[in-house]
Amino acid sequence: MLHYRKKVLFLLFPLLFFLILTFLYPILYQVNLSFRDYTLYTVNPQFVGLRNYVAVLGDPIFFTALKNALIWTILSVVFQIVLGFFTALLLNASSRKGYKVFRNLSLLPFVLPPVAIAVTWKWLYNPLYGLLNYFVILLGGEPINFLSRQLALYSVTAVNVWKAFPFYALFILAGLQSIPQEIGEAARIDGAGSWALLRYITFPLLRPLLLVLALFATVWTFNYFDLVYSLTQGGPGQATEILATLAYKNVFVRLRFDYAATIGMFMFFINLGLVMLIRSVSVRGET
Amino acid sequence: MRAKSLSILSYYLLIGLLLFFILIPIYWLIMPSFLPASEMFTFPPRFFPRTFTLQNYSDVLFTYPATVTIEMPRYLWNSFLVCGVVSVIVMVVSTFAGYALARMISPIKKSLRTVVLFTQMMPAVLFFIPIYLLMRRLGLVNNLLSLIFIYPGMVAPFSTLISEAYLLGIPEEIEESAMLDGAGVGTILGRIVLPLSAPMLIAVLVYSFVWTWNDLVIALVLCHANEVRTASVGLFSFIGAATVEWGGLLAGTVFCILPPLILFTFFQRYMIQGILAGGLKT
Repeated sequence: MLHYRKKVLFLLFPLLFFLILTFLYPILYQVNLSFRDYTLYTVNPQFVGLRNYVAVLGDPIFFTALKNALIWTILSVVFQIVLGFFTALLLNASSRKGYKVFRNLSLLPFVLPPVAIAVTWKWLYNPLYGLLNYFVILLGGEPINFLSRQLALYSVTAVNVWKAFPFYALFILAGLQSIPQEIGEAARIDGAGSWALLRYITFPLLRPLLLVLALFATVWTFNYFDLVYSLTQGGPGQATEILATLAYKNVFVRLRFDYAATIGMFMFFINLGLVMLIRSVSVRGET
Repeated sequence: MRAKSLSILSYYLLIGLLLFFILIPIYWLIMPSFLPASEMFTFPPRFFPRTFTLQNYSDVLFTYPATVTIEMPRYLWNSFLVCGVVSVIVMVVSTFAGYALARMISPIKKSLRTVVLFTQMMPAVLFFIPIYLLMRRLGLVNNLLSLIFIYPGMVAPFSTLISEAYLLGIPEEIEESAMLDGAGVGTILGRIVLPLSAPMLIAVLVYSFVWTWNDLVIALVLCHANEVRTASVGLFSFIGAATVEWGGLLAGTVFCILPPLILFTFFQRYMIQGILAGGLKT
């Protein structure tokens, strides 16, 4: 038996091979790259110490992108989790059947390609003949340019919330259904109303799950390139530039591989911090 | 009694309203793609079309490849090729690794799960620069092989968690008797475990196919030349093309959403169960 358990180990090799190819090698190479002078035309990259880090930190665009990335991440996550929470409460109160219909249809935006979602919303946001502006005019407003410099970041965030909140709702619903019904019934017999039940029983019991979900959502959103880039390419100007799009442009527009790698390193550190936070929160949730 | 049925009614109304908001953008993508240009831009817009045309679709399939070198059929084929190969690789890799994790002794297992989780939380988007430079050195930029090398490592961590969660549910006793008869790992996997794992395999297949189909950033970095574009990259280059009409763009987008849409519609039960099982364990 023990012998068999040891033999099973070699089944891990294919996974390890791909993980080394897509994670370990790139991480090490990127660390190296961030300390070197490396553009498209470099033959022999020289070691330049912290020069790239200083250059990136001295670049105002980096801070614009960081600020945008934080706004985009925080707003996305807060609205996804809050909307997901209330959707889950609603689904929990309805019958199995209602839940099934909702589940089957609500995840559609989540499984469609982000580029396709971007086309759809460009069409909806269109200032001349978009559906949204039809409603704006119907309500007596002036047509709005949703992808303008002032609004673009919020419009892109709204698309992200729309796309993902049902996904979180299903996770939270699974958490709600794991709460034993007796607890709620006992509280009701003691005279607790719906609000008290939510406030003092449901919410505290769900808090560990909500925290973990929120942190995962934070990591995913912070690194989410596809939707932002296909909707706005970071524009207009730098209105929706986030760190991921900035790194991409440094590679393919400015051809500064070293700056791009350094931006990647900053993203890596921010991610690392978030992951540590997830670990500590989920460990505390288990005990 | 009456109050209760009233509140049930309001529940369904609220759920219906939510669904309406979730689905209307997708309806507003598919419906106008069947409209002639003259009807697409009517104001106020019509929610139920009176005319129907396949003109936009024939533009995408036949006119654009010849006139503006936007070759959607080729992009779709590229995507099918890459997604198919990657999904098969991921199914093998994550079944192997998931089985190993499910049957292993705990100390190594815990640290391995941490590694898997860590890679899951550190998306390779962070590292697309080294990946691009590596592929450039190997001469694989603008070669679909580069995607086939890179995607499995990004999809496999999570699908390994899916298969581990499933395989833990298969009782070890079934395997033990085969072990006593002297069966090796390969025999047990192939004869006993795999025949019981259809739901898990479907979940992994759908997850990896859809993930790979939907990715933009890696494909954009590694395969941007016209003849190797995937559906997402092709559609992305479509967005900026000045010569393209909205009708053609919407029809091209519908082509692009069809595979995930179909896979998800038929196999969502497996996929949702898989994702919840893999995700809730983390």
